[in-house]
Amino acid sequence: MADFISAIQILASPLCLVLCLGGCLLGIILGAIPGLSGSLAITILLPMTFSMDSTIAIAMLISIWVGSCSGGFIGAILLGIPGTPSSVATCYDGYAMTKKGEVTRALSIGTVSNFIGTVPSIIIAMIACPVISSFAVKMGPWEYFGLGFMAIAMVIGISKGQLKKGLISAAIGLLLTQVGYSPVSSTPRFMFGSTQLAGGFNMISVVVGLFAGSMIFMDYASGGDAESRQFKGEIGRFFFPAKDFAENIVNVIRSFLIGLGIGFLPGMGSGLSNVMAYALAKSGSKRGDEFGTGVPDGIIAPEVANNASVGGAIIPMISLGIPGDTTTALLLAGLTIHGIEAGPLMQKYEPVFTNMIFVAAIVGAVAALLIEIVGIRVFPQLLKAPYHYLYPAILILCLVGVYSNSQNMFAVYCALGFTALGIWMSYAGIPQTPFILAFVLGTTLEGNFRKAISYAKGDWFAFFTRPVSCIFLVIGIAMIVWPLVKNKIPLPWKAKSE
Amino acid sequence: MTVRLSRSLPERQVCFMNRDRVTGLISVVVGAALAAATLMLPASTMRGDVGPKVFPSICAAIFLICGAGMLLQKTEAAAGKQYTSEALKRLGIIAGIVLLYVIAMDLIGFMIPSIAVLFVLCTMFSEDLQIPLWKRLLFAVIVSVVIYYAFEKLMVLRLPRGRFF
Repeated sequence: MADFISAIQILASPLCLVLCLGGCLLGIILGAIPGLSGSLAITILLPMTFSMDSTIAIAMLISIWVGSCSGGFIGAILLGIPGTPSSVATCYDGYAMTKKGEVTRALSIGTVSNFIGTVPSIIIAMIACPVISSFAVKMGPWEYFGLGFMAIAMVIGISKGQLKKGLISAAIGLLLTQVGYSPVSSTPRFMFGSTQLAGGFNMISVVVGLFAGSMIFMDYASGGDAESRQFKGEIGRFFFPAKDFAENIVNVIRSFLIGLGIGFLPGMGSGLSNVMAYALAKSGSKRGDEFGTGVPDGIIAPEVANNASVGGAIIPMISLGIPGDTTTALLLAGLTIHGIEAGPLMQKYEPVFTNMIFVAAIVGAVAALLIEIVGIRVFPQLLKAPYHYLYPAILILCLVGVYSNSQNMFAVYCALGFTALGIWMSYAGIPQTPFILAFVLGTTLEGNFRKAISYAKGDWFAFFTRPVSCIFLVIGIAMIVWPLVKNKIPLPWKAKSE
Repeated sequence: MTVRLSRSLPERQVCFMNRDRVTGLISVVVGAALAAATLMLPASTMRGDVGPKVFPSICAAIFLICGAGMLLQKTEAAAGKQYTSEALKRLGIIAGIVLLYVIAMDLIGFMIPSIAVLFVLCTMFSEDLQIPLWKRLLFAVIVSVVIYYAFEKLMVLRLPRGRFF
């Protein structure tokens, strides 16, 4: 407790609080713009922290990270373009709610969901860090593969009446991750002699093409006039959406646990948790059919889950020194530069510093909440900008974002290719969510599958002899098979209702 | 075989090649090509590794099975977005302009193509509003300069310089 109070005292200095607030604001802005991210802000600011006091520097970097995790929902709700892959699922109901004229409500729900996801997950990480990390270490490639398979199967399972299209969508996503050097053996695949394809396709190219490019192209193709495009809703002040949250208590708890649980698995993180939470919210909700038309449940689930992944990601970072993604890898680099070695001994030898990281994350979450509450009147002003100015500017910004993220023009050409794919998928009625999830997880899924078979000396049944992996796989298989057989099985309660 | 792009639901159900069947056909063709390409992949040299062919084979199987299923089904499952021939023409125009922009940016760098494309896109999106020329031009210049300064100077991120420069 004394260490915790010391950490609070360090962070309570006005300079530190101002830097945390500024870092958080920068993170939110970069998180909201596709192609830019918190990792970019940390990369830019890391050299500037060399001369700063270690505690202040790390607190500011943590605030940037928390802010960037939080900011992705703004673009998703206002424009239907996710700022980061972690807000992909927020687009479906967030943007639909904006189109209905309820932008303030959507942003208020998103803001509160972010806070509800972040703060408790950090507190849990603070208390249970050693216990949870020891559990994470026991997860082998069998469990990772099982979890990834279950997540994709769940998303396919919610494509009601469109199982074949859902499977095709997932297969396209998986296929695109197989371009380049394969995991485990580094065998070149489907590269057609191009060195540009060696590393596979860039995630930002996919997000920009599928969401921003195809949306703007299709809007122009539909030929609506300026009047029909203009936002007609009211822009109000932040309000606490108590009724929406009261109706979603189970959804909040479930999404929080998904986010926290997935957050501590390296390579999985918020990109998976938001889609998985959305899929479970949709399949578990009484109004599952209304998802995609602007229901609060569809914003709460992904936003609570992706922010709960913040607490989850801190756990392996602090207690094992394992980064979950690029941003946490940069944070670890920042810790190393400032002479702190993350890992099992950090909590023993640097207790104040360890607690300072947790407190800084909570300060970052509070700062994000305040900035978003104030910003709720400011962000939607973007929607009042005439669309003939807004759409061209967004398109160019997104394409430049893709270039700056990858530093090559090939990624920009790919973004155009994915725009065409997005338009074709929308024409053919193929759902995008299984594609995105399969693309996010493809490499991890294949790598863990091959490692698992290799470790088990060719024994494929090892997936079913390990209990956690078996549970994941059985749930996944059931999610695909159940929609096919449920009408053919005479269930007693079904007969009663008839 | 011609596929009309916009038609009413009953008409779609009786048409031999509805959209789902076209998607199914594409899926089967992609699946067959993928299966053939997968056969040509080398086996893994690592002991105990199932090799790089397994996942592409799974994808090929999904494309073939689901594609065949969609080809054989009688009615269209769910309608996607509808396009008229006018909409397709507009789609082609905007795609062509953005593709030209990316090629120009690749060749001569960020600034000039960005100003040009912003001006053209602004004109296209405001076709029914008659925005004065100077406003569209000013918008194109300001946005390009702001993006340039934000990326190159503020965030120290390189923007395309062009192959000719």
